[in-house]
Amino acid sequence: MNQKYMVPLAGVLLLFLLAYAGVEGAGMQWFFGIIVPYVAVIAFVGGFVRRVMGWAASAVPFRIPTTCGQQKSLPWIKQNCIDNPDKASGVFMRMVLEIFLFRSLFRNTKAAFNRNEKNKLTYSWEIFLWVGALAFHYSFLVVIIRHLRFFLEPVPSCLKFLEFFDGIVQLGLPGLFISGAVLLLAALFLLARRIFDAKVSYISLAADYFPLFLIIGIAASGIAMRYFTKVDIIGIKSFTMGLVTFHPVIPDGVGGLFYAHIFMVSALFAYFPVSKLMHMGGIFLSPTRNMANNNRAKRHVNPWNYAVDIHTYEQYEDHFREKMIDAGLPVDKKE
Amino acid sequence: MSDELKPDELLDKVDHTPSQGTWMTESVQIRPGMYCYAAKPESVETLGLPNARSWNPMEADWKLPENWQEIIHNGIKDRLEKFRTFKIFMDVCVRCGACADKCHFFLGTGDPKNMPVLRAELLRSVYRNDFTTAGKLLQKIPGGDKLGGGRPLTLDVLKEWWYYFFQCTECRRCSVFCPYGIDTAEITIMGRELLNLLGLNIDWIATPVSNCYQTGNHLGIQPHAFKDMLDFFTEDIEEITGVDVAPQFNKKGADILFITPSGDVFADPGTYTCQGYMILFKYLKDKYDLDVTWSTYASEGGNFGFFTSHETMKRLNAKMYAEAKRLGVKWILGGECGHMWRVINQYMDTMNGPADFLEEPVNPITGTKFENAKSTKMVHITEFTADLIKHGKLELDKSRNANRVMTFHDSCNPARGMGLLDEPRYIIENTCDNFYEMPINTIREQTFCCGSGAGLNAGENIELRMAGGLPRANAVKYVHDKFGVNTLGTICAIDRAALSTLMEYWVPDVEVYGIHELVGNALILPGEQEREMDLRMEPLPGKEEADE
Amino acid sequence: MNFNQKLEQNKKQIIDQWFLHTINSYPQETARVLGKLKNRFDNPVGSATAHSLEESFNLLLQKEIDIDKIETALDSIIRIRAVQSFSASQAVGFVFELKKIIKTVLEGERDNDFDGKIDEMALAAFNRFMKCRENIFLLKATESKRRIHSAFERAGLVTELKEKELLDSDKS
Repeated sequence: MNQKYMVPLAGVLLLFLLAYAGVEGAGMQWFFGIIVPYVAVIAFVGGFVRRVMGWAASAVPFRIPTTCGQQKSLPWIKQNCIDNPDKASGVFMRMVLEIFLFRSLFRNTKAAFNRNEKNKLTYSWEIFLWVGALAFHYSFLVVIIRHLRFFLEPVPSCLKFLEFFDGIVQLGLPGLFISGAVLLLAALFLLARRIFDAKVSYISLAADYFPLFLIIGIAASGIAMRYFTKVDIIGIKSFTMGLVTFHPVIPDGVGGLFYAHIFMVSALFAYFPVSKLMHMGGIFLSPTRNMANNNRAKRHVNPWNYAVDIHTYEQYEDHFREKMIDAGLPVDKKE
Repeated sequence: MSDELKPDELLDKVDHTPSQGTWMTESVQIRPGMYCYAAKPESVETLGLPNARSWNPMEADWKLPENWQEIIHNGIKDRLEKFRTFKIFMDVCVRCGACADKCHFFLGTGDPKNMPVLRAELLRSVYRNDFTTAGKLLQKIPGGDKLGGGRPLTLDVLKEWWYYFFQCTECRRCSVFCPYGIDTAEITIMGRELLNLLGLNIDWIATPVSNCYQTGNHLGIQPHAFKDMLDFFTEDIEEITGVDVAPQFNKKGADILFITPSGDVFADPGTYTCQGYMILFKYLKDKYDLDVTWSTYASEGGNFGFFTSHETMKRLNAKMYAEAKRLGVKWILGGECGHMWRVINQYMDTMNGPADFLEEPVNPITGTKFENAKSTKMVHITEFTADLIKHGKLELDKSRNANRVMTFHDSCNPARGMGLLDEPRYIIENTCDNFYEMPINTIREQTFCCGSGAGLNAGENIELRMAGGLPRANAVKYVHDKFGVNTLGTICAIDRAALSTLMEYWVPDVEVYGIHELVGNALILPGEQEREMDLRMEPLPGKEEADE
Repeated sequence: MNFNQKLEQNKKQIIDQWFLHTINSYPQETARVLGKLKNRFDNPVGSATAHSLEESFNLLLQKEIDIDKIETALDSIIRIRAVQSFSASQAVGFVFELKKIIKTVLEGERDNDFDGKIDEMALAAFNRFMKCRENIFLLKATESKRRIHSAFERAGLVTELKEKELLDSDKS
């Protein structure tokens, strides 16, 4: 088997067992339920800020957006204001589309939809990367927002509203939340793609599998608690409220599965700032996307611009003066 | 695929299970036909760049300085602070694979290390090992390196960098598809800068850079020879049109300084484009008294310094503003060139500006203000000509291009580093009746590179160039077969040279034209004789009989 | 049913397998990409290979084979392989694969006449490969000449340079 994904898989299983056994066997609820989450949140916030500050500390010497459409030029030529923006408003739109709709990734799928020689519509797997990525990120977002109900008292009505829509299929008891299922499926799809697509498998690293396994573990344990083991929601709410109000309590009757869930979430938080997951912050700062293509109209200043040696016209003329005079070219100095 | 393997054995060797992902440990095989010769020491010395010596990539010893690892390490560190692009692109890639099949070199050569993501990973793996907290921690655990995707900088890794960073044309096509806008061109630029710290350039870049620095242009044409060349063109044009279009050189107080890549002056078929410019300037002089001057000092629009390092780019580019200032012109007009325009559009003003000694460019004939160039003060000739045509200022006889069935190749740099897409098309449509676009996924921002850009247009790597140019040639072949296209228009000097060879191999019936060659043929000069020939001295459509 | 009819009947399977084998002469990560029958402009190598193989197989099925036509049909695939740093045997070896594939698909059955046709096709492929390689060498030699405008030559500015450049391009 491939150690690129076997090692991360083993790692995630280990994390799970560690928390489960630690709670069920050694009774270390206070450690996995209180210390670890606090440490993880501190690591997450601190690491995230440090990373973003690190990027921000690097200079942006040149304005080098990737232009994906017609530039602003003569008044009668129609500019593509979003893909080749020259104003902040265009850049804003470009970023919004990029961040919320993964627009560049969608470009990929356009090339995949084509008509073959018999004029039949053909497509390839690329569309699923875009769909899979959207499904994954949005369901994750909904799941996170939904979990806010554990940290807020009273639960705001907009959250109840969201839950209503998330549970609209009305399946099972307690009602199925679509987001959880979609998150699990999308993560499994992204994992399958990494394992079975030779091209993607070739470029994948252990660091690409680890967060996927972790998220799959988190989603699976969450679903298991809600639908199968049916944990004590009231107990958990008192626990989470304790965490946010800095009066942590360990509730009775909440089992190891819950602590394993919390531990994996903590691991994800702590791992986040040192990993590729930082693309969440990076996308906002990517200079090929967040800058306007108006260099020729508005000078961009390079903070570390320094003077360089150049071959001056005087040196040039000194070198070639005779030949220039012979050829009838004008010169500055005759002798 | 090593040379000893028979196809049968090869097929047996290939299994269908997913790869074990060993790219990090496979050592690089440098193949003839795929790489360019090493830079000659003389050329490296001219600009005082480090470690000038003669060396051969095929030999084991690359004659590196003893502390080369330290030099590279410090070089990376320095650049991480100076370029946010570099730092972010090292950190945020999630290896989604969207870019993998977007690279013409990958599609053409089939070498998996030509996938853009992997090209970047070559550098990223070292970055992760030496510059990230996770990498530094993991190093301490046995096998931890592999988990974090890091690897130490060894000689093999360095050789791999050299081989693959000189198999990238910095075309930015992958960057269009990346959800984070990661630009492999930027990574290649950094990679080449680092390699140049050790004197690891290729000769096809180093020698033009050295020439350009000393004589003002890549070929090293001296001032009198530069003038001679344009004089020859003047003679040819007089033979064709009966009009003397002699250009002006280094003229102080002219309205406009014109700068074009020297390829247009010395290499066919760019020379015909150059003749097109000369005819246009003569027309504007006679009709509207517009005074355009050429310069022998700033006689190069292209900038191979861009393929060496930011600093070298700046040193070569400085001549444009310096010459404009010395001559006291109002603004600068730039010829048809690809990377030259990336440099002008995205770097020049920042590096060598502000050009406050020039005026905000206005077309004196039409009154159009070139708002988009008001700071840099340099206008692209297709913007200029399109404006003239739109205002009806040019008398054009389209029938002289009637035998041209055109398609248009968007050059990478104007397309993805500028967005100059519709201006040249407008000129084509006004100088020629037959114009067919190539398929949509091969033009405009999705255009395929010629396979020879970024200094890779050498002779010794012709297999690489032909393979890399295949996706482009394939689209040309399609319009050739379907619409009878016989002419590939382009606005880049490297394209004009490289695509000619590419077409000869893949689609031999297609010729390569610059856009201003079409203008030169169609433009009716005041007082001209009835033309029998086009600029290539071939009979004009309808004049074939008369020729015999 | 005679041999040719059987081939006709199993044509799709044979061609598909032949394509697969040919594409698998690339590194497997690459084969994954090239093997996808996608847009011909996004994947020129894959589509040219598929098209070329199908066309040549159809020509083989005809009673009298026209070797010139076969060579032309093979052009697009060979022309690509001639610049991909395959050795000569690797570049044309895919033709012989066809024998094995037919034998497998038709469960051991083979036909001497048809094998002969495949041999002829292999020779045609080799011819075409040599032509492409000659083409490459010629391009190398003439390109440097074209880089210098003929007016330079007329002016006698580059006679020396010309010879040197030509020699340079032979060096590799």
